[in-house]
Amino acid sequence: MVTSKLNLKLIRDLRFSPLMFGGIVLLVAVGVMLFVAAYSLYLNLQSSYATSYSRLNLADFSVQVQSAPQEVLSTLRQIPGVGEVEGRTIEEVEMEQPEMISRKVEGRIISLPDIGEPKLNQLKLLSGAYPRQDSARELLLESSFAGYYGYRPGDSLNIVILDDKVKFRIAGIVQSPEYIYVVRGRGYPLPNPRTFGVMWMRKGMVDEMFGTSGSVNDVEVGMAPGGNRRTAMRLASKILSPYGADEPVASENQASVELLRLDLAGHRRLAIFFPILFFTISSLSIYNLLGRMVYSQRSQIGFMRAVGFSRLAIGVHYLEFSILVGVAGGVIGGVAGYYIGIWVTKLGTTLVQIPYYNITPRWGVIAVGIISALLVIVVSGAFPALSAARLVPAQAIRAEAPIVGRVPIIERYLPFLDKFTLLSRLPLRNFLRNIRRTVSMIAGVVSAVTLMLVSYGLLDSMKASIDFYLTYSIHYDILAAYLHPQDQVAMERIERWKGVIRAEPVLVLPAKLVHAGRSQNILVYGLRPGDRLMLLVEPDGRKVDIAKVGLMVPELTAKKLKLRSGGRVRITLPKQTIPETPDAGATQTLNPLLRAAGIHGPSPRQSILGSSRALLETKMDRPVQVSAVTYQPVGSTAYASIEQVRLWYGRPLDLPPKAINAVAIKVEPKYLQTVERKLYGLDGVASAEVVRYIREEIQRLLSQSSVFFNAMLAFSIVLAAVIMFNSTLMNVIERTREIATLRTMGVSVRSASLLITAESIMAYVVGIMAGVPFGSWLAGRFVGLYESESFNMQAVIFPGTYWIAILGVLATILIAQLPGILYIRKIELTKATKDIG
Amino acid sequence: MEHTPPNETLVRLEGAAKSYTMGKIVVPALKPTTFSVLQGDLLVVLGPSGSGKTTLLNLIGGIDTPTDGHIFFKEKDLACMNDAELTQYRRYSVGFVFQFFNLVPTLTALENVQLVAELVPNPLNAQDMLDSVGLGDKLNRFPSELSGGEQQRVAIARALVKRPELILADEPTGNLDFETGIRVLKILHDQAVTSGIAVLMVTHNTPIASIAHRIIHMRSGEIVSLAANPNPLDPEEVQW
Ligand SMILES: Nc1ncnc2c1ncn2[C@@H]1O[C@H](COP(=O)(O)OP(=O)(O)OP(=O)(O)O)[C@@H](O)[C@H]1O
Ligand SMILES: [Mg+2]
Repeated sequence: MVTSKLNLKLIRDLRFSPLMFGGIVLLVAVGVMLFVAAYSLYLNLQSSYATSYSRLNLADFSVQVQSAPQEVLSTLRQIPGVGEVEGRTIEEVEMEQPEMISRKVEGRIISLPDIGEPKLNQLKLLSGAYPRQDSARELLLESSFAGYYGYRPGDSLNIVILDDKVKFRIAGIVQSPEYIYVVRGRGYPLPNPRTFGVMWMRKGMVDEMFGTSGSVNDVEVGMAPGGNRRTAMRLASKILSPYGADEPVASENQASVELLRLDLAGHRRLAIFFPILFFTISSLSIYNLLGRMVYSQRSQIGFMRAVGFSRLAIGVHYLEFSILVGVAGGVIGGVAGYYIGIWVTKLGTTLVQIPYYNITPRWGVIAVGIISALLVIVVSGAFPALSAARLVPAQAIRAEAPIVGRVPIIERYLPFLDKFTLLSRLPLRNFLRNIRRTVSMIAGVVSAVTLMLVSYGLLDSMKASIDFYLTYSIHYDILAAYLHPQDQVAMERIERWKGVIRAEPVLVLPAKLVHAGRSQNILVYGLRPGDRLMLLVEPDGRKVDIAKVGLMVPELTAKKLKLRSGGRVRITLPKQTIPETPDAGATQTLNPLLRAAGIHGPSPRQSILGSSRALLETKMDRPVQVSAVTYQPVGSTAYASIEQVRLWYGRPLDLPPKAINAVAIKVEPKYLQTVERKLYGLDGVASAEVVRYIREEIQRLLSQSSVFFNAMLAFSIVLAAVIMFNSTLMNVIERTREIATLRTMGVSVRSASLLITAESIMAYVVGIMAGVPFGSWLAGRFVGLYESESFNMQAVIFPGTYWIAILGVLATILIAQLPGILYIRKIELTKATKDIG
Repeated sequence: MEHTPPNETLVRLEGAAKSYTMGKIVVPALKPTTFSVLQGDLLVVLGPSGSGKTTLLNLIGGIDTPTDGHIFFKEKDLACMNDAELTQYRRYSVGFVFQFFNLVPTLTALENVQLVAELVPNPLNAQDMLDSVGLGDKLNRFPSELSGGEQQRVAIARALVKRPELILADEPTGNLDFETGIRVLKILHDQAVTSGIAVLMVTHNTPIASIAHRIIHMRSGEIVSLAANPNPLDPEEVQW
């Protein structure tokens, strides 16, 4: 068989440049591995969520109401297509934690049916048992909160209800499909088990404590198979509207569900984008390597054709190289991806616990990964193989095709180049001679830089947005919030405390903004014009002062409601001023991040209304001027002068004339804790959020994601290293004879090495010039994808990141020169100068 | 025809030898050899294929190192030089001319010569050099646009431009036709005769030896004879 000897040649050729083929195998493997690991994780998480939702029967939609009689539930059951309807009472309380000396923990109580288990939003019991049916003081505790504080069934927990402490026994630890990602509601980007926990109690127990017997404030609906949910939602809304109903919330818009979905969607994009980068570079590399190989073996090919090998045999022979590389890279990457996928999934599950896992090997993903790698590599290798098959024997056999020299156009337009020595101009000539190699070197640099900028850009943007928020916007150290509106003297009293540098009055109230047929619930901060502890900027970065008249709306709200500075917007009280459950659709809340990080602002429920529900009848509806649009990286809040807020809300809410319900405080650092403790000692103070704790919490969250970013950095270095290594070595091998000749003329090894390195440096410079803007642009696009109700990140790349990218790639390239330089050292002048091919 | 008689010793080989070890067998490429190259010498090395001619040339040129014996250039032992010193030696003292020209393909004729001129402090003028080898009108051509003979003349210009003391030419006419070969020989010959540069030229071609001042015959890695040529011919009188 003729092909058997060709196979021998194949093996010898592979051995000839094992590192170069190995490098490409590595690139392919990393690409496949990234894809398999990331996409499997994506599918595993997605199906785990789906399994959990369906096994625990997540309600198809829910409606929050002020208070509705239980009888209305049977009316709802009549809606065509509706399967299950359950009413619950949800109440927000405070919990006492032994470890939290001064800070308080927010708890949410959700009622359970008096008998048995709920049919919708079922709980997965991890340990213990359901609470007994009588009036036993027992509850079920959500697992991530329980885990954080180390609670076990049988432990007791103190709940603060209307200044009374009530001791409960923990009957069981559970997971809930509504709280896989334990956030208070929409607009809260991050879970924090330290400061927020969810509990379930028998309805009778809840009623006993809150006097809610016979009524519910949350309605959960499950559809029957084939039922039309949209119609059902509309009808339910209508039926419940007399009871102060909020907009129905479909299951996919439920806070936890939505955040997990957004997170997954971002994840999926990365799972596709990064492998594509690696495949592109692998494709360019194999194309080049085989292209050069065919070129250097043209006389052999001519000979083989002349002695009778068919075109097909030759074509297949060269194609086999890429098949081998594709298969090797694909399989290695597939296997590595499989294991890393499992590892990453496990890592992910320690951050978010899912009731039911559905982690299976994703053979389909592995197959897609391997097949696409193979396809990419074989197609790229097919071009050189085809050109080998097409060689005309008579031409090919005539040794090497002369290298055609040309004066590059650049040199004609840059006459100053004449001043340089020819030796130093030689790299430019070569750089422009082999366009394919040049392009692939540049592409390698661009990809590496892009990879670094995109991944680190995400991190930087996150850091910068938070930093902007915490250092530019917020200049206070503590924000104290009152349960009920106070007179401004309360603030003046604090201002005189020892260690307090400055105190400023704040009046925070919920509002619903209406414009262009759309509405958004938002908190309005009333601040004193000229105050300094909370500063605002416009989207273009210009400072903007608190206007005496009008409302300042955040950019995202302005976009949503189509508002412009100078325009008008209707401000009303939200239908349900009390966010009974924060997942009750778009309840914009006080600084979500602050709260997520565990420090509470005034809870609207407690501060504004106390336990009175009289507000329901109050009317407030007035057009106000939009005085400015502001940029806020985290959360969405509107601002106005405190006088304006008092004017708008004073009468409807019956506020005292100089009402405040929060105080921003700047403190001398050493008095921070004293002041904090003192605030908690004050009557009527609900919370005191300390900015320093937020900072620490954010630091912790960011460092958790550093594994991902460091891995990306490592991969980009691999990318740059392989392509530069291959190009340099190929370059040196091809030009052995030229280099040897220069050496015999008296050019030193160092100059010759510099000559080759200079070419890489040129590719590097061009690559950086293209890669930095491209990478920055792409990073911006990726950051934009994460824009949501609670995040308005600005794409930021820190100078340090640019330096890491620029110097990291440079260092990688310089190291990748070593094998080439070593080769130059080893060239045997006697052989190289006499060889002709 | 008159010429300055050879005088001072430029290169001196003392039992210089080169052998290759292939597995257990030791292949002598050049057996211990002793002879001298004088200033202004025109030496032609003759011998059958595989007799060690190229090996001899490479050893003298400092691109190969002897496995035994010594090679002195102006009484400095090449064997004692490190890589940097050998590089300096090749740069300032030696000019190579290869059978396959080995021009840098991305540089024009003129640039190929200039490239080498840049290596030394006071080279000859590159353009004059090309003029003198008859290529004054093809300065800006790239190697791929020149004939073999023209390329070889560029290669010679390149070797000469840095004013070497020794030219080592390995079958410079091997790839050339008769006419072109003669032109190339003439240039080399004139260098030795008029500029006092020593020329050591390897060839298969016996008639060429008639232009030499001295002729070396080699066989099986040995110099079998080294004889003065009493009546060196002018290259234009050579016939083959
Ligand atoms: N790298 C090497 N390894 C082993 N043997 C070698 C090597 N280089 C040369 N030889 C052997 O050394 C001997 C002399 O070789 P050399 O190249 O000097 O011959 P030559 O006289 O120049 O021949 P030609 O006229 O064919 O060029 C030959 O027998 C050759 O096989
Ligand atoms: Mg030879």
